Amino acid sequence: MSDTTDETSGGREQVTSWVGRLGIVLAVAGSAVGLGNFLRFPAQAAKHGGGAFMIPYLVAFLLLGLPIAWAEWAMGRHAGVRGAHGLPAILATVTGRPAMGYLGVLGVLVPLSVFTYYVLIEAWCLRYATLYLTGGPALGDDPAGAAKQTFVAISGSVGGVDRTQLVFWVVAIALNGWIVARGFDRGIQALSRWAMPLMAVLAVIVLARVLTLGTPDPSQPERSVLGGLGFLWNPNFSALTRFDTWLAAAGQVFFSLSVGFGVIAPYASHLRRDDDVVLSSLTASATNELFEVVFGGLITVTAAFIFLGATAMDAGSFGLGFLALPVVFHNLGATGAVIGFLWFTLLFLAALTSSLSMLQPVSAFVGESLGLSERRAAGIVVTVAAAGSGWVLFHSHDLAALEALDFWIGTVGVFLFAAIQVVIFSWVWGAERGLAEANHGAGLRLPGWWSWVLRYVSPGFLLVVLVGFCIQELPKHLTVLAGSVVMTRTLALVGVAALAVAWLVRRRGRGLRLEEAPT
Amino acid sequence: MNPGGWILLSVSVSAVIALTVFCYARLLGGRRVAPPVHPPEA
Repeated sequence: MSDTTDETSGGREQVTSWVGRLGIVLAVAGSAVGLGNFLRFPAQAAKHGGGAFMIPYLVAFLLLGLPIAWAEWAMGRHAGVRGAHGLPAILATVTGRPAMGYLGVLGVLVPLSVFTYYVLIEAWCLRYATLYLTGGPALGDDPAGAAKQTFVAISGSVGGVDRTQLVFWVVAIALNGWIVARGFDRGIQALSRWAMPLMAVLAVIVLARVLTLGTPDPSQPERSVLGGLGFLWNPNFSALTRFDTWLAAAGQVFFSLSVGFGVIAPYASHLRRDDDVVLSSLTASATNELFEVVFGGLITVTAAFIFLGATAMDAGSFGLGFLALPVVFHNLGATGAVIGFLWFTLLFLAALTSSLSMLQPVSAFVGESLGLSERRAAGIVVTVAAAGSGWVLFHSHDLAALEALDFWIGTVGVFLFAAIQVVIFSWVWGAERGLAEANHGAGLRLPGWWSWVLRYVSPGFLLVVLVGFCIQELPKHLTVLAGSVVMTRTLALVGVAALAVAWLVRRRGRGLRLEEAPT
Repeated sequence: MNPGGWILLSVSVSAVIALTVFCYARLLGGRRVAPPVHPPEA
């Protein structure tokens, strides 16, 4: 590792430069691999054509996910060597126009807002892991009912969170803050180096157990490993004629790869000028797909189907993870608690590496805007994030605040910010120039026709997805928003945060260094 | 599981594993195909 000194923002601040390419790849992969890989992907695939879902999924991966990820990596490295590490400064530096920094406000709001509820779910995983460490929840003669009671108590979704869960929430936030405050080198990168391989080991152990379950109940021969795999993977090609299948596949690829979250470019800003971005980005994406398609596609639904049949899918992604799987572990007998502990530890680590990636870019932005050290910036950001998360926790009833943030910021905001970034990359910066920048020092060279994909195909694909999504989802969510005071107030708070971020962008704009980096 | 399911599962899982192995082998090998020539500036 080596340190470079960033003298922007008036003060000297140490910004760690990652020499080991593996470090940033694992950190970005850690950001991408989250709960969605294990819970959302199989639920979406089962709902939208089973194995046939992989066809639109592959198309979206190649034409939407990978190109936008490359664009974010290339912009991040380009701006990073010029001293910009927060998204507003990255966009301003890439375009050479300080006013473009204001478009980066969304790139700060998205990770900060998503963190406020994501850390709650992370705390649920930690609580479940410790429950299984001590033998697992007592599910008695009515496992399904008891599993639901356990989840309700932990999530507070019917009002009131128990004190024990508050402790887990505080622990999760403190752990995130402590790791971010340690900086890139000793914090996120060090964690990713051991957490990602550990997650792979945990996933392989759980997968091996699931694939050796056989047919636990001989009176129901269809509920077997092959039955479970068939339930998810048997193709229903008629689903490909429905627009919502293509929309779901694009959305899954999008959110799974962390594009549009405001995470990748700030991470890549810590690369050196001659470091590769094309192969690194592809490797991080491949790692994400390994966890999603192989582990997510073979473990979750297969296990749930064996013990619960097709009804396991009725409660959606969350239901699959927190209602169905506890019943599965209950039915595994003596090994159930061990497998349950390994599974929820895996989910917790996946959530932790993702939540850290939401805090770190915000911390980098605050640090460079106010000229603060990493530790002080992290302290401010964690305090603000904890207050926001406390708001979400306080309004746990019906998960209203969580759902408002998840849809309006974590979904709509992500789509919009991805669109902003791809337009800036392809049309403001220039796709050819961006491609040349991406190929600079590359370990894998992108052919010239990718500039055509980046200029026309990816923005067009994204536009279709965005319009289709708005037509399909916005009306019902606007109706829900209009009828919920909690949701309206939650979004008003996000608006206040946006003003604060814009003020910081203005302050940072004065210190921007837009000239070329030294060669 | 029907033959279509087997094919899609096998192809998907094999392709992802192959891509992952290829990427890490190349990344850790450290080979560059493009020299660090600076891109044209606007």
